[in-house]
Amino acid sequence: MYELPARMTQLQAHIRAGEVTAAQAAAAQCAKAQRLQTQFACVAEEVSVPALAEGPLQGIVLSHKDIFNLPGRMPGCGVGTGQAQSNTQAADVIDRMQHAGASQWASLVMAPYACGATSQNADFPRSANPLDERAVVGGSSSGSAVAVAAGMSYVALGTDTAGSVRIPAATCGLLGLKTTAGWVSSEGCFPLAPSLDTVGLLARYAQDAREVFQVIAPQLTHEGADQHTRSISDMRCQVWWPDNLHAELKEAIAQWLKQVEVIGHIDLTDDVEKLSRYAQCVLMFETAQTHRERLISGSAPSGVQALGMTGLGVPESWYQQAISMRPALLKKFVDRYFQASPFIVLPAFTQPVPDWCEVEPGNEQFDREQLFSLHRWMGFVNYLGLPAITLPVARDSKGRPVHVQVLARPFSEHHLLDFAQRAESIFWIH
Amino acid sequence: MTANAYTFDALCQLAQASFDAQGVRVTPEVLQATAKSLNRLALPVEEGAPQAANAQDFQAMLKRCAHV
Repeated sequence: MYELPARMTQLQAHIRAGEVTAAQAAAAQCAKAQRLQTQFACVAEEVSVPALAEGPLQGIVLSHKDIFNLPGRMPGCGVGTGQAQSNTQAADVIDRMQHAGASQWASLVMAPYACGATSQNADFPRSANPLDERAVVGGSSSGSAVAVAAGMSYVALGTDTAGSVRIPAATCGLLGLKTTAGWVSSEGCFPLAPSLDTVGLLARYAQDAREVFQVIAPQLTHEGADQHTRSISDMRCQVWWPDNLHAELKEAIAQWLKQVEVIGHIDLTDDVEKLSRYAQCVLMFETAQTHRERLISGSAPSGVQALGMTGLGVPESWYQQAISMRPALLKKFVDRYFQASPFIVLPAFTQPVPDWCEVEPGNEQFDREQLFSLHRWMGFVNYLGLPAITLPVARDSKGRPVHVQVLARPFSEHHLLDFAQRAESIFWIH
Repeated sequence: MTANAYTFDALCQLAQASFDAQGVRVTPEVLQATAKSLNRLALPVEEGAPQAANAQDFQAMLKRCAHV
């Protein structure tokens, strides 16, 4: 059996060079994923989504969050297995992957209806964090993080409405890319809060992520990105140190920043506080609209019920204000903070990665602050629509990953991936 | 940031009106819990009236903001 390399780009090179056939490569990936799935419990259902053309991802077999329509299958969305439905067409991103030569082996577990910052899900066994089985796996794209960190999939697609790609990536030592609002098609993807929903991806390596990003967002090439934003050949950034950051995280991130070109510090405290309220207002209101019937009948999963019932009580005038203010607040933020440098760096979490039992409501060790730590600085980025990436910069005293979140101007995904690629030479986990 | 100016009773009334508009009946406990959430959520008073912007305006602004 062909031994798979660590990076997807290496496998692509082997296939192109004829060292392994696409079929042999695919068989090796499926066998590896099959072998590991019982250990990590991240698979909702094995599926068979074939490649439809030769392309850059020929011979690559990936698995994705169970939130995308597949050919003939409606997704399970974390509340069960998918439903066969003959007239269902693949989600746009899945179709793009198929036409780029990639096939899909499994749909991956997730928080119910993508509503949850952890992997907690009463309908599926608990996924194990490949880095530390006591550590939480963030959500909602929890299975995507586990599959990639375990080596079952080089890259996995997820969705991010309030951190659902970046949080799981940051608990599993991965790179998590949230894309610019509206830029990657979410057609055929089950919604949570459509104004905030984005498709994103999780990967171990920036170049692997770029290969997939180019497929799902072909209109934004690396070269084309330079026409929109300044050509960036360094890691110039401004840093935000929130007041309540855990000392261990601050120390670890400060050490890492010594190898990055920090041009100054900014204080986002007031803006993040305000923008987070707008984000939460939109999230709650739209979640309530998405799940209205389930909420009224009481059949929604507990996370959706808690968020959505409040959403039903949010005055529509507040929601309309939040939507109306969005362009102006985006411009104000960009004008204020992206004039001096192309990147803003902030911690991903306020606390070190917790044990899973500390962040699952209902558990006797549940700690609300620990749960809040996971998503506190995520939602405002969705409200602004900016692209963002979480990436590992150190390990904490328990050996768990310490991540930062890097923000950039709209449509700067390739520059964020450049940043992540350079960061790999400073520190990387996988 | 400007704190919100709502009393708890006012927030309860706002939540009740929203539930009524949705055709949803809730218990007093749910209403009070919702009002507490709204207290944390209450939006700041922005300078000037909010512009009547929509999703298309937001997409246009994203493109404008891409340029340095």
